[in-house]
Amino acid sequence: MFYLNNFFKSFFHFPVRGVIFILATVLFVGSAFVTTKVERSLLKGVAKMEKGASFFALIDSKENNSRVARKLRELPGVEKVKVLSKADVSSSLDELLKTLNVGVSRDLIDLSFSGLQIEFQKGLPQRSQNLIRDYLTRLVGADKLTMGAVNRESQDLKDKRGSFAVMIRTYLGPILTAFAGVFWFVLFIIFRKDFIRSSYLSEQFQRRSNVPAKTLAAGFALLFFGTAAAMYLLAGIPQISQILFVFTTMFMILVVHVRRIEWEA
Amino acid sequence: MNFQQSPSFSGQRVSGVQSGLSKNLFRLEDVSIRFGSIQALSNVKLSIESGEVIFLTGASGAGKTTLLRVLSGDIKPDSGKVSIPSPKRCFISKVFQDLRLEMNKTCEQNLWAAYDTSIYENKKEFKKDLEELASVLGFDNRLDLKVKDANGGLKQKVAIARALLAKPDVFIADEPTASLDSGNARRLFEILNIYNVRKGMTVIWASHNKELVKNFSGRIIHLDNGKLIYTGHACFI
Repeated sequence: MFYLNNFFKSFFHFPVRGVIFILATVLFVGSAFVTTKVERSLLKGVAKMEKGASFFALIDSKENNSRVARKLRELPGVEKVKVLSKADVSSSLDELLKTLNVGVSRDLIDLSFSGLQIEFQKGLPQRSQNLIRDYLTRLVGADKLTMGAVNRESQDLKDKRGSFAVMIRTYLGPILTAFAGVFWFVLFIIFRKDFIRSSYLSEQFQRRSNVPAKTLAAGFALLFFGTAAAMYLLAGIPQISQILFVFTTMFMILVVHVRRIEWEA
Repeated sequence: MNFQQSPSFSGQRVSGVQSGLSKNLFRLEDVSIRFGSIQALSNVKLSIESGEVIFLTGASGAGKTTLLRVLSGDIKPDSGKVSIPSPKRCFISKVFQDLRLEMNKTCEQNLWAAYDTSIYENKKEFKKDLEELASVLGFDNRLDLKVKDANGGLKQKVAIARALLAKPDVFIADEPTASLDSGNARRLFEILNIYNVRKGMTVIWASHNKELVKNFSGRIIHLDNGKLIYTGHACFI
């Protein structure tokens, strides 16, 4: 109890310092626990960036495009149907002309069209995509419909996303814990003076030995296991390598203090 | 507050080290220490018995502080043999030249560093001793003063009181009267003498003021350039 008391008394001699140090410790220990959660949410974000194949369709403006969109949305395999505004149609028309590669000037094309962008679900087979396109042709009529080619996501983009996901899985945890560790260590170095002094005085004027190491052992054990228990309840199982890193860092600091200390003026 | 009736000062003279140690608490044989080009101690041969009052004298740089550090076990000699009592059997309390006080704390808070639960039954007992000692040393009305605001004399008194509150078997002080006037220095020695006579506390006191120490009873060890020049009773100096 004396050592625990000594730990908190020396770090809370200035209460703000004490609170900052406790928070830094929670961040350091907690980083090993939250990595999985942060990783998951980041990977979810990466997965969201992935889009299914899509195509544009221009429909005679006399057709009820809202009805067509509704009918399409009801189809299995259709992720999203976007009704395009006139401005969107205009920009999409350029894309369509490019895709069709017909060499016709845009000024010559009748613009009495409404537009739709139909996005397929991710990984939808080619056959199903064709069936949806056929359905649209039947629904609107071939003479009132112009469809663009199906745009598939480039392999390059897929590779980039894949390597980004691998990077997150490999480096996120260690980087997170390393940053929290450096921050915690710097604070410890800044705040250790009061702790060293009170430990030194306890060794000099009380019948005690190895006060710094025992004090750190008591304080770190409480902070480490207390935070770990709380984080386990909140976030589940930690990353073993990271929690070992946190434990080793604290243990090494403790080992360094198993020696005769000198007064720091 | 009656100093004489204080439980901490009462009782018969007892051995400073009550564990059946040999009478020689400290024994130094041909101890030499060199710091770079400076020979701090040169072939010092010395023994100190339990319950003795020792005045370590010599000019600045004579090797007094080095000898005290050897006796405290803070430094090991380059050559020679040193025999010092084990800390478990004989507790040594020190007053350092730089005092080693916590400046942002009050005088009283600094004294609480000596609150050892193995020798005091409770905080009340410690507080009583603290107040008595502060009263005897004449700073009981300045216990709440922050050390950084205290004058040199008060700081020295606080450092001495802290060392005495630890109830040591051996009291080692490096120039404890440097910031005290002769009246206060005399008073301090009287207090240490009471501890020595009543509690059997061994006192080792380094001072460059030979005139002050020759008025007191005790053994003088005089150093010059790291060499032990004289050891004998103060009255023969």
